[in-house]
Amino acid sequence: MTSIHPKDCERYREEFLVALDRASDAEGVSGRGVVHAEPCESCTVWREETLLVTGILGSLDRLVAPPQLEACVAEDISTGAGALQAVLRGLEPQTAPAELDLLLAQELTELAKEGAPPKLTSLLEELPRQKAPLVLERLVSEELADSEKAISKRFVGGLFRHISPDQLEARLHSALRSEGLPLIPRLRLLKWGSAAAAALVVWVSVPAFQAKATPKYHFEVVEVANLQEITPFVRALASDLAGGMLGGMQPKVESKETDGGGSL
Amino acid sequence: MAAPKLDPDTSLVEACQAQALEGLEGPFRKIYDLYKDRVYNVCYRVTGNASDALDASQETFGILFRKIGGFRFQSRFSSWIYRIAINASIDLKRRQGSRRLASLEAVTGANDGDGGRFDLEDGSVELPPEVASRRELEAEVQRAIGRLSPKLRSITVLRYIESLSYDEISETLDISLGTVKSRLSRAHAAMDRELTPVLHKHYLS
Repeated sequence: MTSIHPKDCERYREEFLVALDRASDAEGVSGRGVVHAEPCESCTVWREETLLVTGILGSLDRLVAPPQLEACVAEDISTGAGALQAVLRGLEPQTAPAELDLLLAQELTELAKEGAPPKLTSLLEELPRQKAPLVLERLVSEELADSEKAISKRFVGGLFRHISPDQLEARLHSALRSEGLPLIPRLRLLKWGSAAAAALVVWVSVPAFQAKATPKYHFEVVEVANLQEITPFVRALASDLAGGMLGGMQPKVESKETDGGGSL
Repeated sequence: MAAPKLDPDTSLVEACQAQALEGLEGPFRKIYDLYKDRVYNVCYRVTGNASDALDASQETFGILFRKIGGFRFQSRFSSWIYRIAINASIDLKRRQGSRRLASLEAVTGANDGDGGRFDLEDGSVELPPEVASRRELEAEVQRAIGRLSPKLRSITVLRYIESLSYDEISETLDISLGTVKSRLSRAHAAMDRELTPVLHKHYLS
């Protein structure tokens, strides 16, 4: 029996693969004519497994390109995005330098040292403490007395404030125009009317601010202890000015412990 | 200047080079239709899943579109396309590998992409035993291919799935015939090791 050299097996297998490549039918490749034509037991097993593996690989299903490939390719070549990506991919990723580990280790070591409080903490501790203002007590009392009202006021305050649309001015112009007066005279009238009203208010209120020993009133001041002592006309006028609540109004008691101010 | 070889794609390539290409139209469209399945197959077998195969295929045709004007028939046009597809697929896997942390899938070897994306597998559908067995076999074969090194994976796909000859493989991968033979031998040995349990399970038991 001829001894088989390992090199023979190596050559046999290489040449078997070449023969496999040239043969149309893999099963027809017997390996005859190559070195150690009668293969050893090891090469026989190898040959059988190789034929099996080759057959399996060759019989794998061939796939069809999915429909979305066309769209992807079309977009790639039309936008040139692929070229940009290729350039970006060509950039070498940067790795953190070794010195970073050293710096981090030093930083962590310092932080871990006892008796060395972080600077930030000490700064925070040195900030002056704020005291609650006096008005806070009143506000909290109002909140607790009627929490729903307080919530509704906050809600309203938080609503989005809309900007008047441009159509509003146009409608305003058309509305003023429809009253029969030309626009410019109406605006002038509005301007002069506002000025006259302001002058009247000033003319009436200035004397009230003048500090005089005996102010001159254009009307008579009468002090009454009882509402029944005034004339009905004056009583009705006073009631109107008070919003119809003249009879039901009660004097308010101001809190001595706060800065004043009554409820709204 | 090398004389054009007997390349069946010569007229198509020259048509692309003769005019300004306008997207996926005209002669480039013909090239796309001719090679899309082959490119996709190669990309799928090298990357191991449909999503990566789509990305790699898109990249392949993008490169082809931008560089076809400079092709000088120093190799077969098909070899050139295969080379682009192989490189695009390997590069994509390499980029993913450099970014992704080790996952359980990679550790357990179930790295054929996303299991369910292997087109022939669908765990939710009950298949006849022989079909299910075949699909399981194909999935295991694909996983075995995925475990090969990029060089051995490329040569395995080109030789046994795309049925390229030694000369074509040599041209595609730009390696000598001797290197083709030695790599194929190593690829065989690697596939034998990977698939022996599979063979025993499906054929030899």
